[in-house]
Amino acid sequence: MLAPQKLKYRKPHTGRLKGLSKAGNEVSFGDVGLKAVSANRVTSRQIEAARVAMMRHVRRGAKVWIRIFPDRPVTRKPAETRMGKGKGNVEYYVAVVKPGKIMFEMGGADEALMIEALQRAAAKLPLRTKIVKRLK
Amino acid sequence: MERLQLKAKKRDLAEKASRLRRQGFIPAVIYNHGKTDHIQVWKRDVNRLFAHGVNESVLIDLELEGKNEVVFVKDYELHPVTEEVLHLDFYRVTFGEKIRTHVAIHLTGKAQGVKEGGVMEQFLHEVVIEIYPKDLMPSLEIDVSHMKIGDILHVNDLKLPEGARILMEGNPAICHITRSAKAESEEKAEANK
Repeated sequence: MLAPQKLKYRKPHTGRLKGLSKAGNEVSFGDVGLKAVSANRVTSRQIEAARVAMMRHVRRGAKVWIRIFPDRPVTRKPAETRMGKGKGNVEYYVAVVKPGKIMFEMGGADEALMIEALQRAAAKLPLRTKIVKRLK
Repeated sequence: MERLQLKAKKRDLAEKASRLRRQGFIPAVIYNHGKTDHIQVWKRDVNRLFAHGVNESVLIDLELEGKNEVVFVKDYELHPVTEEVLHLDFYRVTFGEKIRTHVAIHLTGKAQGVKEGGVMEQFLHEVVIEIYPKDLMPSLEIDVSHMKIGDILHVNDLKLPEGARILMEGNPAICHITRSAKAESEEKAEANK
């Protein structure tokens, strides 16, 4: 699973999911891509599940690019703990995805097969998506 | 090459861009040699011209309040989600003066290596070139049917019109054909037996 090698701040504030994606909004490497239409946090487990779903469908016949990285730690307090006593422990990492972001790209295989693979990947993600093709 | 036609009118800067877009226009600028004009074009005309994405290597006859100008799209801005055109930058073309623009690369034909089970991987989808406006082409078509597994096509292999020059450092690869990961793993498994 993807996780950062080192962190500048171990326990960041929660933050808010406002606005649209600023960069990484066009298919840059492959032929088709999966674009986020709504905003959410995508965990490293979800990214891995989507990647595996894609790779199994194309049976390693295509190239896959993952354009998001789970660089944000998320903390959680243990169950049945009273409030206070400081912030919880880091449990997992997430990528903050805003509408417009291309999350996955595929290339080098039959287009219909790649679109099907991306649809399977989309089913593993906690946000609304659409499939986009390279503009040029 | 036949040029595309587009009608435009001067833009009143007192009116906000968002309001223009609601009225069915796209705000744009037209510039060259330090002179800039703010204009607006009909969205439906732009969508008709660039049905499959904005093309930066097509010359356009722009009719601006009765005056004809030859331009090409220098830059554009798209909405991140809907991918609608939000703004266009047109560059005024002076014939006899070279222009710098992006030209898309289209691979044609089915490569021999792909027929044999390889995977075509394209690294470069457009090149930056310096070219005379009269020679400008909408895209560079490259026939890859002769390519075998392991073959690489470089930028220097492109055939350009006389006077045209590629503005890219080194000699980057455009595409290559590799063995598929599936075929490689099968070969390894056989070798281990």
